[in-house]
Amino acid sequence: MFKNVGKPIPKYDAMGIVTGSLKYAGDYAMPGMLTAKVLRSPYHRARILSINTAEAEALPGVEAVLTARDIAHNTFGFVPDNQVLADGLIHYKGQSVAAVAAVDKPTALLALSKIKVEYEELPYVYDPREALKEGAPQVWGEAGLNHWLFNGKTATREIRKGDVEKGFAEADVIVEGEYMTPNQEHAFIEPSATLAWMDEAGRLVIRGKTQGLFFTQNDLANVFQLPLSRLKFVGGTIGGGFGGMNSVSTDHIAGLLCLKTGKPVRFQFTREEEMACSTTRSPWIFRFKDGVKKDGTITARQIEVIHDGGGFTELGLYAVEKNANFIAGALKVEHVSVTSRLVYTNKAPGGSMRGFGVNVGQFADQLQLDKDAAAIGMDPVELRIRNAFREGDANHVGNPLVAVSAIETLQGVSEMAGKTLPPELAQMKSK
Amino acid sequence: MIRKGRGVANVYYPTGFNGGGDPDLVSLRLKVDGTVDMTNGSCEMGQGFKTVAVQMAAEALGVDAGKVLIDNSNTDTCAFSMDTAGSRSTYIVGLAAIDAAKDLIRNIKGFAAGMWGCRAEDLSYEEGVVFLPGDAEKRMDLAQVSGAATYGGVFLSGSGGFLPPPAPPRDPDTGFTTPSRSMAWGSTIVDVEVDDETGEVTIVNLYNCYDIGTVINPLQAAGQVQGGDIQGIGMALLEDLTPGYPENADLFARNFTDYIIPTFKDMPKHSEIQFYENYDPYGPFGAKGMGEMVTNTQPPAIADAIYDACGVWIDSLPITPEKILRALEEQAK
Repeated sequence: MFKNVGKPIPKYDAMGIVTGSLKYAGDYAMPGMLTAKVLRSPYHRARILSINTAEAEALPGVEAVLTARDIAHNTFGFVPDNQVLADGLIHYKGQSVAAVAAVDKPTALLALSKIKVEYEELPYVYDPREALKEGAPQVWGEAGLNHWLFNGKTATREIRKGDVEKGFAEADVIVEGEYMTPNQEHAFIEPSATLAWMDEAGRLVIRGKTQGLFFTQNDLANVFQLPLSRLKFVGGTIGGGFGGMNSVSTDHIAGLLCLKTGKPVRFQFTREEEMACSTTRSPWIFRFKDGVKKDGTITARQIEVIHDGGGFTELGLYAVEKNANFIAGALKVEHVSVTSRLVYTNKAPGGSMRGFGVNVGQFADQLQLDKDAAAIGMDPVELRIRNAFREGDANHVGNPLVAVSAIETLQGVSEMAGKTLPPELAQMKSK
Repeated sequence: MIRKGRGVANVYYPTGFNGGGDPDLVSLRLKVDGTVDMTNGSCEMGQGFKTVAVQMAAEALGVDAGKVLIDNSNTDTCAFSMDTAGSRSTYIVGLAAIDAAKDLIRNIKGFAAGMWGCRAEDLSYEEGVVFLPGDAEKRMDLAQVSGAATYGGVFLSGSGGFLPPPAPPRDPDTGFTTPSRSMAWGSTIVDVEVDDETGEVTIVNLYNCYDIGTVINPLQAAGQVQGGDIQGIGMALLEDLTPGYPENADLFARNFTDYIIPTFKDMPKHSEIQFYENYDPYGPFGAKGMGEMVTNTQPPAIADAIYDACGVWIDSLPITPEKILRALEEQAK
């Protein structure tokens, strides 16, 4: 039937990758290339009172020093409120404060040590639940802005299906749970790296590491104040992303230093910078309250979500919106309420990571279902099959579902694991 | 004592950006030797994008995958891609490739019709051959077409795109919307052993049954699942940059000595993968997105199995030996 589809065709470039012939961004060098390094905030939250770069600039071999005041368009990101270099208020420990381009790495590091930054250290907030309280340190400096305002107005994203109180009244048991997921690192094999240069036609070329060539090109064009036609992004094949390369880490600083010096600039993260300063899968806290009948029917789910977005919005808003659309699970429940918040804290911003916004919620949703099953003494597979979506159902935000396989994959995995289902469950079908 | 337990998880996962509206474009150029250059700016990051992209373009053109090459290397030469994220590339690039292949085939027929002095709509195209049915003389394969076109000063190419329908804005009262037309489905059963003296968890058996629609490349799909297993096990049991969170703000891990990710030693002793291919009416050749869902079922299934083994719920990730031992201590009180 198919000529190619369904065939186990070997990976297009696997041999070249595993034998080391693929060059990554950090492998490239150019004659006269400068090395970039970044000075980072030692404080979780602080006000920058002054920055003196004179001594660093006077150091032989230093070609450029950048601070926020040198950058015409200092913001970037999916929601573009992240800062290339800190402007006034520090949002998290490790935030970039100043950047240096020098002839080699020792000179660049020496130059960082010569930059004098005067900080006023301020109290910080790390727990998103504390951040929502009155009197909490304000990440953005202004009162009442420690959370995203949905539609510019409200602190919560709300999904309302049916009436959960009605559902709870119909239930035999109420089951409650609270779940938390941590700061997780993407742990890709290739750390963020950029080589930036001006080509023979005077265009800025960025050889970097991104999952979105055109998205990053657009994000950077704003920072560089260049039309897209004057900026070329080269990449395409990278050493792992897992969502981490949807956020810019090194391209903007390398490009700005190249524009300032006219020389090729390489900026590469250390593994420590990758873990401490770039985006992570940042924490989530979920509270579930389920109404359950003895026959296994889930009558209601009430879910409260707090996403700790860290110091800037980045992809946190997208994550909260997507989470809200899938958090109630792959099961049909008549009464559902979801109330979600995106909260700012003094830590590195949250980015995207494989399973983005959804799998953290599924950890909570699925563990809660297991508690439901335990509460009524029902087998966890049976509880799932009995409540599973069928063909043509809509999910809890009204999304129509086609080619539904919740029941079939549960039956399939049971068979694989040698688990015998009662005939009634074994014969159920989505269609 | 070693305690044994079994856990289950069942999830679904949307294909493409949340709320759709994320287009991709594809260009196909016929080269002088009859091979085809495909361009699209999606990223190859180990997931196997390039392989499935050329497989789907080749399928739509009816030629062997080896006849199609892909350029995804830069913003100057590649057709637009929104991003490589949201389990979207196979699905959206595949649909764009099918669209571009139709365009190329239309242009090939137009060229051949001009050469043969017949009408393009009378020509057929099958398996890389354009021909006039019933006339054995009027028949060219792609190498012949491209040779004639190139040296005849005619550039044969095809372009196409696909836009997943943008979702309506959320209903102001209910918050309802349409995040995606296509969903993948998946279930996992895991058997664990918990050492109640050390709190150590061993994954003994891991069974995955995933519906990703039509499996475009079973070798790569299995590879995605195995990677998903490893990343899921890491999320379940090991990975945490700030174990003191939320009280303590300090980063614990700065390197892979402190930030432990699974190695071969942490792989399940036994694992199996099965694909339940439920054809998606919207996807290319019936495919759905798969990249992310395959790392979502392991953490809850493992947490469930630990409860089954020793009767304690660990509600926060990662499920470290310390958390298990503390919970067992609490349970014994």
